[in-house]
Amino acid sequence: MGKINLTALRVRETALKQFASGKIKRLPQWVDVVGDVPPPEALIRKPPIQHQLVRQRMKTIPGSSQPQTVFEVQEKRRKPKKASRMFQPVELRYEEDELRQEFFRDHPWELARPRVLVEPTKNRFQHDWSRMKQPGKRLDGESVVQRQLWLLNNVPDMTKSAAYDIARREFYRLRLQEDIERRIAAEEAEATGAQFGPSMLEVGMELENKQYELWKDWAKNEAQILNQKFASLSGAPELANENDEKEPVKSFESVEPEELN
Amino acid sequence: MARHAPNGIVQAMQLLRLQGTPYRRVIPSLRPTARFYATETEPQTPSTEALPEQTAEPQLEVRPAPEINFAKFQQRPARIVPASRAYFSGNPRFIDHVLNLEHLQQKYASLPQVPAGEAPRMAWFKLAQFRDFVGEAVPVKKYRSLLKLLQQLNRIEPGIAPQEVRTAISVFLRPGNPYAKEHTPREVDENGCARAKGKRKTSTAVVQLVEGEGEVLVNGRSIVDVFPRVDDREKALWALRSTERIDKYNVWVRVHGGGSTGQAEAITLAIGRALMLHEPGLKPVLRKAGAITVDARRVERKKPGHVKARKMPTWVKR
Amino acid sequence: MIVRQFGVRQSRQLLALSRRAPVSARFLSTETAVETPVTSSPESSVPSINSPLESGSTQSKQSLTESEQRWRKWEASKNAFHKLGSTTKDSYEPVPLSASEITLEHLLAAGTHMGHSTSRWNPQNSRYIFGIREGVHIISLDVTAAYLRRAAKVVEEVAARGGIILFAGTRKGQKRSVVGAAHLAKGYHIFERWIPGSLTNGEQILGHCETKVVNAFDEELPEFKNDLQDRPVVKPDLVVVLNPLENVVLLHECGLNNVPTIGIIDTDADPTRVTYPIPANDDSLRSTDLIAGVLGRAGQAGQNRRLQDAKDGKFSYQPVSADWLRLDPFTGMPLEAEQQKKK
Repeated sequence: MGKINLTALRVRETALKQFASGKIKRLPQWVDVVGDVPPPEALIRKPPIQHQLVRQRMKTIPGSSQPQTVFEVQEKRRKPKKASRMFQPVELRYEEDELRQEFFRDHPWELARPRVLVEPTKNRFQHDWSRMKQPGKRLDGESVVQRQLWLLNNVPDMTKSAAYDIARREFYRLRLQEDIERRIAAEEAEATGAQFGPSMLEVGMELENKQYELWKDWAKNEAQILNQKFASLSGAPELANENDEKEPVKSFESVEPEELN
Repeated sequence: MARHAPNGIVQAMQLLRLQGTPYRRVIPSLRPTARFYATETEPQTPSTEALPEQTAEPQLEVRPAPEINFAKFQQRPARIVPASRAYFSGNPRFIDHVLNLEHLQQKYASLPQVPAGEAPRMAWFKLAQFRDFVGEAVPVKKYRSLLKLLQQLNRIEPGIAPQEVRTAISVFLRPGNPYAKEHTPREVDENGCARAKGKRKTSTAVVQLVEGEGEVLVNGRSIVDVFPRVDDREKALWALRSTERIDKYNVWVRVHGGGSTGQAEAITLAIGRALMLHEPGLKPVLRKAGAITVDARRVERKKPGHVKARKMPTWVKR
Repeated sequence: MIVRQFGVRQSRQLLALSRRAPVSARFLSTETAVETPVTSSPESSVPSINSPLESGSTQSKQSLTESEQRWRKWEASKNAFHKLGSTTKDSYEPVPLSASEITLEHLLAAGTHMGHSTSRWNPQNSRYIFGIREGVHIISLDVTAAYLRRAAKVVEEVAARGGIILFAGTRKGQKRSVVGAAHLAKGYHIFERWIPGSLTNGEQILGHCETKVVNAFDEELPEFKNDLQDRPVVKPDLVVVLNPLENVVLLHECGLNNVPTIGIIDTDADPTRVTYPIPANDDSLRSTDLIAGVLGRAGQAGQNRRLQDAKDGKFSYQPVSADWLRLDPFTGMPLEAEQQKKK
């Protein structure tokens, strides 16, 4: 049998042999099914699919009047592969990768925005990136990357940094527009009677106040216990009473003169 | 992602393989896609053979079932198949029950539920009973998960719970209703005698307490004989002593099991409980004195590999 | 979905508007104010076994609890407003896709292309791998689709020949898809641990599990109940494994018993373990659900074909004969009782 166990791949062969030798009385029902739909040749290696980074550019060529599409293929590395690595899969690389990395390095906070992770099965790639805003897609970092790529692919003599600037400018404008729209919508809603409840800051302050009040109660109690301890140690109960009367906590607030007397 | 056409070597290998195996048909399209066996099996003969013998002895009381006409397609056996879809799991009936209950739970997930404490109390099968019921060796853990399911279904608001759920649940109930009988509080009987029981360690004491002048009998002997140590005597009568009623009651005790400490403390508990029947108002005093607090500690079992319950054998170098 | 939402929203508003009505009704009539909807009439005939249930229900008859009242009201309003509003189109129906409907986009959306880290790969899988991305092997989706269709074809054909198909997925969360696929394909399921020896030592482990004799329409023939004792246990004709890595024992037993297998082979699994590998991601439930659904649908198609043949009075497979069933399973001879009868 050797290193590889071929039992699973040879079920039909085994069944036929067993039947021929009389080990089994009837052929299993699946024998002709496996004959019709044979198992695949899993063990034959083949050279892996090669992937190259291809850049598409529009270039004005001095002789011709129209700009032409040029495909630049990244040079393969000259260093020959080891023979043992011949059948290893190859890294997948696309031009967007660099653009994406650059954008998110400059705008890391864009990664903190909520994202839709569900992948629809229809209309996934049918966006026209000749403009930034896309129906059915939220404006995000990926929009900038795709727009930049479109500019690089379709505008004659476009450089990477110029495309980045254009895409970014459009992106900022749209973001600003979104902000204004949101603010105005909120104002309109408030004007017509909507109530949005306390803001995040107010909620935070309230929580803080609550904790502070709790601490105050706890501190009052502690102070009283401490005073009583001191009083019992010194053997002067009237001291404890005295201290009880003017509780230390009252020093936090304005003490009324009548109470002191 | 183009489809990868097999290269020359692969094709050669394939050809070799195809020719090497004598059984493989190279052209499957020439063969009919499905075989039909209707003509291959004739109507069964034994039925016709057995028929006259049956008619020969009609006076028999126990008659065999009417002979089956296997010639009819409807009545011809075709396959032997498992009765349940969970056949290969080893406990098909249990899994069918679980799947059924889960289905019900999903179906009625939107119905309002009562809090866990307010659901009607149900006496589900004990594990052994359940194993008898399904006829399979169901592991403890799996049965617990089934019980959890049942309890969740049981929590559906009783007035709303659909009939389907009720019948599905009621299958798993123990026969009889152990939770039906109500707890009757104990009282002093007509002779003025209060009975109570107390346990400690492995001792059990049963006490009968009547009003009297302070006589104590333990297993028919005086307490001084039974408990030579003062300490044990003090403990045994602590309930009466702490409430200063030692000369107001006569105590008659039967105690068995355990040693002197266990017996003395079992008596404490029993007397405390009996005293509470006479004078319920003493409860806080007795509680504070520790006379009616149950000490539920028992000797921990010895474990294999240990000398005692937890002690490990001493380490020996060799 | 929209209709339902609409009904709920509208009914809530309307309930708020007409809150006065039941109050006035209470003053005017002597009957209980709460209407009982037609949908559920429980506790009318509760069996006498569950007395705890009964006691609970009698209480609720006298005074409905608050949540019960709320629920009944909600139910009544749902009935009243159910037909109002817009009609929905294109609603999501969770029916698994069939093999012919599967596209590469479906496979991509289910994440079947995600393999394992490159360091964990099994080089036998190199022909299924499209490339490396972020240190992870990406499985070639066209290969996946082709192998999935091939596997679906096998399932369909085996089902059409009345074979016993076992779906096994023992990872957490695969239960639902495994049971669903088995239900569709009229097969059998395993979603907990495969008990080692269920095939090689079947008498001990599956001996107590019931079997039955069915006719071509899958209707049970109870006449043969006694003939089923002491028969060898049923063995599957095809085993579909959703997580072959954890079910090595099952696959080994299938090898010993010469049973063909279908398995989802991730980039770290051994493709020669199974007869028909489906190169795909076996760690994502979405991926395994999709594949189990496709195979289940294929099995369903096969079963339908078989039943259609039965309607035409044909067997698409070699049936067991009544003669054979009446034979002694050990000796292969007619049973002694019958021999005596004949004498």
